[in-house]
Amino acid sequence: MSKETVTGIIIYNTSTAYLALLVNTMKLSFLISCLFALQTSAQSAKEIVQKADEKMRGATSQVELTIKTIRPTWTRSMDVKAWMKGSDFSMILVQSPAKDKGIVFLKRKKEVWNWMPSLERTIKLPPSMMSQSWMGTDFTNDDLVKESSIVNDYNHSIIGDTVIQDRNCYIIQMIPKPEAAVVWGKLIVCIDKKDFLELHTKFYDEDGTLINIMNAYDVKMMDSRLIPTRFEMIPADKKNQKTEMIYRSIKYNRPIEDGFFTAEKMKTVS
Amino acid sequence: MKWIFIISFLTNAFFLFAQDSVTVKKKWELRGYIKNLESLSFDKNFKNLIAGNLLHNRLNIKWMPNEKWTAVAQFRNRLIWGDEVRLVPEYAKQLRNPNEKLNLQKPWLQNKSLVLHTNTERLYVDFREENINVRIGRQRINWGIGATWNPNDIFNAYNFLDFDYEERPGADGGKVQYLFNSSFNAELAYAHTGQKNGNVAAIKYALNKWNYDLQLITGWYNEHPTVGAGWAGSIKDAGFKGELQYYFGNKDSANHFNATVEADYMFKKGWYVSTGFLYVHHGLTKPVTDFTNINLKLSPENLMPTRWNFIVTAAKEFTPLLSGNMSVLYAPGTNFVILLPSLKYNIATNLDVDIIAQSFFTQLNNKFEAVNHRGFLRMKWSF
Repeated sequence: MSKETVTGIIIYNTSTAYLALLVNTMKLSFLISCLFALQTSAQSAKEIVQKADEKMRGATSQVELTIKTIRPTWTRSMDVKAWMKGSDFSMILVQSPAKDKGIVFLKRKKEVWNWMPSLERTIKLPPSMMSQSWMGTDFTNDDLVKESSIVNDYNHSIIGDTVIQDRNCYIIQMIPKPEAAVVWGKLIVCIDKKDFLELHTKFYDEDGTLINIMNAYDVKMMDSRLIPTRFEMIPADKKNQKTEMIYRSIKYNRPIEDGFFTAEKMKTVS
Repeated sequence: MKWIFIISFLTNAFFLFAQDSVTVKKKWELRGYIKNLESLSFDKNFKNLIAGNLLHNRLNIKWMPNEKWTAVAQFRNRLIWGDEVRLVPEYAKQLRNPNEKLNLQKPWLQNKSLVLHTNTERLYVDFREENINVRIGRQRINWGIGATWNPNDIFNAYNFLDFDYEERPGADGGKVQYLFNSSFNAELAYAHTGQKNGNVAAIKYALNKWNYDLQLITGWYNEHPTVGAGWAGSIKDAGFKGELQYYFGNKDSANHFNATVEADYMFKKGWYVSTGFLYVHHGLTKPVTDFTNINLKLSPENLMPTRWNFIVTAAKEFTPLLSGNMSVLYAPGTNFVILLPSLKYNIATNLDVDIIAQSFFTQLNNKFEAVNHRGFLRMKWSF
């Protein structure tokens, strides 16, 4: 049997698995930031915005998500469990498919690690992984997870009303302040008037071109909060493909020690 | 040990009928894969074809009776047939890993052109509590940091070119790890490599500080005192890693060391590029007259047959299902070159296909020329 074979297969495996997973984790961060954005913009008063921030995000969160990548000819699904604390700490465990089960990603401030159970080793990833583009756009994970940008960096105005899924919604336009370093040129957001649920959003770039459309469905009570639990993100120039994200469970504000977000812990989370 | 193999085969049969990942209760976990690898090997002129076939099953069994204790057994079952089995005398004997102290392998079947072989890859008990972790048995003691070469990985001897064996072999021994706090720990490990005087014992201190993972190693490797150091950090947005391992001389050999440095970067649009360098003190520095002098039987002391080695790898995800990788290895001195292109495609959720090629070139008798070319087609189904 020939033994002399490919060098760098570890690099290969890692980067291949990583590329796919990273895109998914970025979608997760992106979605969270979107949710957060839209809730907070519902009312103009800054205090309410900050309260909404707390309500949606929590000091910590533990979520179980299903992420579906949908294309005209195929669909792939991935289940993950994630632990987050502020914007500095996050840990993501892949639960399925079988071939990726047990892979863990850890982000602690500027450092990122990856635990590969089949190799039984931790791999430290370059910081440039975090400035990777999201879904082929010019927007990076770093950009997307910047907290409170949506609260402070935009001017919000109510431009109309609409009905989505039998719910009365405000239509709100968000334009970045001139000095703000933000990635979007404009957001159009539809928010339920009674429960402040973000149900629909359009993302425009600085030239006014529509980039992404987000729709939210399946409003449910999760951990005593009424939130949409299924989201779809559709790239405007590829209408026949989308990414769907389904919350299977979420827990807010359960204490998680900083020591949980360590390379050693990656080996044992479940 | 016979019962282990019987269990292994029974469970394999079970998996052939099972779908997806199977968890029996929550105390047991049974996972693995089935791979089929077709290989074609040509001479430098793409002639004299040698074909090989490998049906390969891995079975990973984990038992977790409670939060503290875990027991693991992993088996590698291989059915190999084709030209290579015919051409190599006593092929089955070569499948025994000489670095395993205990003989936990079994050739079930062997004839002129076919071999069926099982090896116990892992067999250990693990105890974990608060700040302490103890693991006894056949296990992977993996102290490497870098992606390509690992001078700090002193418990293992393996052919780094063997892409179809990503788990790597295990070592027979034990380790104790103590966590002083969340960013500082120490690990004491011992293994017997099965060779004469093949004792390896060492302590590793690991620290996370200044956005760097740092480690220091001190110990004993096959009658040599040895010290090592490794790091993983970044320069701006690029990853920056390295490992150094120094062996003090004894009556048989002088002081020598191995060192590696690596950098990697993720570009926009999904391009990943990594580059690495390796120095092997014992490596060849001059062109060879016969390619068989380039010895790929490697050990922690000899990570490459050549002294100076450079590798560049580029990887790209073309679509969520299709990704590609290209590596070029160059060793000056011997003028040894390996080209390693590959493609990976995800046919169905747990079914991957890989197409891999490799070409070897070197300078022989003042002439730089191809030595051989290989192509592989691999299907992998994970459960």
